Amino acid sequence: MRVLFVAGHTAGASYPLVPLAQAVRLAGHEVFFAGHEDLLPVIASAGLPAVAVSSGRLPDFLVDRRGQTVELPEPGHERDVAVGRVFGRFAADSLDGLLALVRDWRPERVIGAATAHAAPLAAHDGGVPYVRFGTDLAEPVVHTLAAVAELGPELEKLGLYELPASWRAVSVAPPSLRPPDATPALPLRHIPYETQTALPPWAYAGGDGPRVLVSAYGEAPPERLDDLLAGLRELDAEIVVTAPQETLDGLGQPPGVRLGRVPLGVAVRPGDVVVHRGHADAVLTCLARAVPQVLLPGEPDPDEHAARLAQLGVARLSAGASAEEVVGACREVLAEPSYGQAAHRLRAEIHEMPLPADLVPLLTEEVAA
Amino acid sequence: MRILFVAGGTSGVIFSIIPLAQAARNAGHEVVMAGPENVVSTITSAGLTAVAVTSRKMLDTLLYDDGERRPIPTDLHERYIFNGRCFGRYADWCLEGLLAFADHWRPDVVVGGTLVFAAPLVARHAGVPYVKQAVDMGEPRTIDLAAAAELGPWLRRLGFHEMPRSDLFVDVCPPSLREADAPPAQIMRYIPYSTKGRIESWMYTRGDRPRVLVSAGSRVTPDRDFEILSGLVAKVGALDVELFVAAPPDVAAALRPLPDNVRAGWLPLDVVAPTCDLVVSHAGGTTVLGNMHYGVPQLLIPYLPYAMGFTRRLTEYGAAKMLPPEDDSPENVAEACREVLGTPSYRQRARDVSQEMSRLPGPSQALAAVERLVHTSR
Repeated sequence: MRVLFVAGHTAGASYPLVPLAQAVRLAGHEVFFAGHEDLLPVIASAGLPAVAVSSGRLPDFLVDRRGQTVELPEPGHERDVAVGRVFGRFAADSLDGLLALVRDWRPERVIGAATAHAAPLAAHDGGVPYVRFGTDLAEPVVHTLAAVAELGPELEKLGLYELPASWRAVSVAPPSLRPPDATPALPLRHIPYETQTALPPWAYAGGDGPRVLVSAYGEAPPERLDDLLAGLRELDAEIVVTAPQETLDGLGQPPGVRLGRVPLGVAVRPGDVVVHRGHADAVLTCLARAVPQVLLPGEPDPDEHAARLAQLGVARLSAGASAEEVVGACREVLAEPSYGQAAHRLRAEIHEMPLPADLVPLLTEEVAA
Repeated sequence: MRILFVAGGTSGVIFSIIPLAQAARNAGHEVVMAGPENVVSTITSAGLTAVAVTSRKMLDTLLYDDGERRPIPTDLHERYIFNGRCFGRYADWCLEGLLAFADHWRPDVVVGGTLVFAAPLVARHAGVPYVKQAVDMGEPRTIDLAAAAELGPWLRRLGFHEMPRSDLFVDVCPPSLREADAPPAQIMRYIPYSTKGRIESWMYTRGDRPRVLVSAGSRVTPDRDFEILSGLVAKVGALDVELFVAAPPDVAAALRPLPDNVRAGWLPLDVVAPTCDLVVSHAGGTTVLGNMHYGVPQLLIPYLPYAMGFTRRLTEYGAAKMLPPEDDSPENVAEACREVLGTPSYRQRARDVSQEMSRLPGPSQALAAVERLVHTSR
């Protein structure tokens, strides 16, 4: 069977789909993974055939269809609508490429990231069953509704009055973290994946003491990171920053800190603490590795799933906090065993979920008439 | 569980073990693939974590320490001994770093492709099971034995009298093409893997004319064997076909200008092969298996002696035609192409073998055998 995967708007929004795409391919099916031009190296370096379907970058769509630049409002409903519309325009830009790919390659299934809003449209146009892949974290429903509204002209062109229904849905959110109102979905165990690297010796030959890993993806300002690192050095732990190379270059050589472009899922061990900004992929990877989290302020924080993580006892929120408060949060998480215990409970829950290879038959079985 | 995969020194043999490694990763195991520095990007670009164990390269095993080329024997037996000793040297270069890594990382099991002789040694050193996976359909007995001889000093150092045997052998050869005396094995469906790059729509859409892919092999350079390749473009391109020539960029550039029905350059086999009616190749192990997977008839010109056995078997099965290397003139290749394209039984037999392969246990099931092995040996 030919199965088309459609990436989300960033690498982080696409990584969670990689293990499933690999598993579908390893079951002998043909897989294409479509996405934005900039994501091609990310997809190809997951060992998957990558097809570009759009080239406009997300910030380009801060300009609306009239050519007016949109100012994003303060966090809240208005901002969610505005952000959702940006995603909608980003999706509209990929629609022609996706329609052509579906027409020419004739996939028999389309499996799209929840934020790839053009995927259900292209699938419907080709008469192909569509599978929605969600993390159900940091995917506010208003984003989706506003994105679909923004796609109104495209729906009209395709003769549609609403978003075509999915044939199936898949969710990698562990049950106790899933919002109660999330669409019913087949559970899938999250397998941590990021673009891989060679392991530096410290990653496997270091001591057994705890690590504080700072995941500096996204737009964390380096000067704040400097303050944070200075504070973290006071802790009795090995400090590691994982980030894209350009972020690392901007940090220079802070003393007593390891800098590495090492995937989070490879660098963490139980007993560590991860400081990050609350993106779904990082949240899930920490949970799958039984590692408590300290969430930094920024998008998509403050957010519903961050609050749930705190309630479950696996995360400390430090939205709006100073570097000093973040360091204090790390100290508390390292010292207080309940965080590690809660993290182990969540990992056990994740380990109960079906593996990618187990889900393949359900996603490739015949569609009931 | 921690699974240490040990890579061979060239892309083709690494491609063969990538599916089992990806399946292990996707089943939630910790997976690291160790190899020389120059293959790290091949490993990481398959979505796998790499660890570099030596700065030396596989191809340097063909050189003396002073950089002079070792003469490659023409006699077949001598050639196998020579190849085996090269693989032995390759293992020797990897071992120091590999043992040190294993001491730190403490794998639960080691998986290595055939011809990767550091794998059984590191497994025994770590006291864990060793899984050997076939990388193609070859059966390199004398090569194995000569590699063991070359590794004699390592065997002594580690306290062994012979090369440790595998605790599980995973074979990718479909049963109907296995030799009668092939060792017992966990059979695994071969899943093709190839270098990734930009995919264009012409690669996966086809017109009405038959599509023929000539895989030039990575060893062709504008100086070496180039006449054969340019002759092929002229002769096969003159047939009423759409001709693709998979060739490195410098070779592709040297072939230009090309007729309208011919394209040359990087081609991903896993995207293009499903649209092809015939693939012409030098019978490289992974290319042959990949085309079997896609059910594509093959014209095979086995330049390397080790490819002769499986080329004969696939020819006898009816899914391929063999052209002896001494008969490889462009006229003969074009004539053989015409014959395969005009004889439906090749396509039928290619589909038969593809269907047989599709019913074999996949990488996830082969992984289950590895998991059982580890549990019973604890």
